Amino acid sequence: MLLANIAQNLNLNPINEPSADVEVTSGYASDLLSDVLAKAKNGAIWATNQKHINIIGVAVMLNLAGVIIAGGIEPDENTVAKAREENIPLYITETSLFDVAGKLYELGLRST
Amino acid sequence: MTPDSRRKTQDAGRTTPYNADLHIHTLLSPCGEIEMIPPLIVEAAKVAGLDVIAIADHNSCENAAAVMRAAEGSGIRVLPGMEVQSVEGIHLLCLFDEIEQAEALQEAVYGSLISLPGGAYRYSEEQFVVDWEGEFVKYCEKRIALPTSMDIDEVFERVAKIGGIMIPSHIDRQGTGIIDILGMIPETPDINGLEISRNITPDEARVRFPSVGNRPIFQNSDAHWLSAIGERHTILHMAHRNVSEIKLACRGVGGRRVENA
Repeated sequence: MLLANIAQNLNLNPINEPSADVEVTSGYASDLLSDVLAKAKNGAIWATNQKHINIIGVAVMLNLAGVIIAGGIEPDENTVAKAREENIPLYITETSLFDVAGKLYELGLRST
Repeated sequence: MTPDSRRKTQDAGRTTPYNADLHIHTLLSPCGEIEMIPPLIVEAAKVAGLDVIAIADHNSCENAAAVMRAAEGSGIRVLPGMEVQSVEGIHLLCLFDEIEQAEALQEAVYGSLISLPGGAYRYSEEQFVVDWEGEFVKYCEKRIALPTSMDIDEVFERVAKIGGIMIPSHIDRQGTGIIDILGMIPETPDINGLEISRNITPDEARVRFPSVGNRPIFQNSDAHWLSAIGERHTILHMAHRNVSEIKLACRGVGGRRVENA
């Protein structure tokens, strides 16, 4: 599934979208970055309520397809700057983390 | 230079090893045992051979002044502070020299504690404010067991502005430690030092968590009951027992240093 389809389906607000022509192979939802580091797969779209700059570091390390900050939470300025610098797709949405995860699941994504 | 000022200059360059346990809860914290009253905390610190302790209840410093008073004449320096819970859920040890500084942070913390539906917070009657002899004064009505809405950067900036030091608490602990929550120690802000829990040694921490780098590591008891006080401590080589000296020790200035016991 392409990132563009997910962004459209979930009506995500792009904060940084170098390209939406990215293949998304799985999904993950967690607010513990250590848990994401340990369990999320390369190519996953990750939904979280964290807005700290380290979320971009995690996305780079795991080569994630993109990051969604859920629940109407605004990312820190340095988080946005880092996403731009590292070319990490970053989206925000008013939708709750629970609902974002549910919608990703409905689209057919799994965490494994 | 007068003889007096010369002596002061020399004194400032001479360091003393101080036994420090910079993370002690009182009975104000809902998780703190009822025995954690000022005179007994000071007595336990004396028995443990501590030279400097810090009082760090969750999101509050309402018992810190009482412990400072209880320690008068004991030879033990008490630093007032609190353990702030950031919006990310990170526990952050925030320490000061004067009670007024801690109270300035407390005001911001109280203003940003997250709200719950009325009546849903059930810890108020486990949050005891006491006097220096340990006598009951009142219940603390604030929701101090909950997180604040301040992120870690805001806590750091506020503490720095007031002249305190922020040390992430028990960085190895799951759920409340900075590494579990943020995956690694962030590059910014410029964190002076890190605290580890009793479950790990400084050497193990540096191996397990490479992002710790060469930052100084503090071992404190995080005591919630009397017998825990001083079970872990850190030896601070400083000219005086205050927060700016702790910061200098973290940076290794003028022979000052943070030594693991």
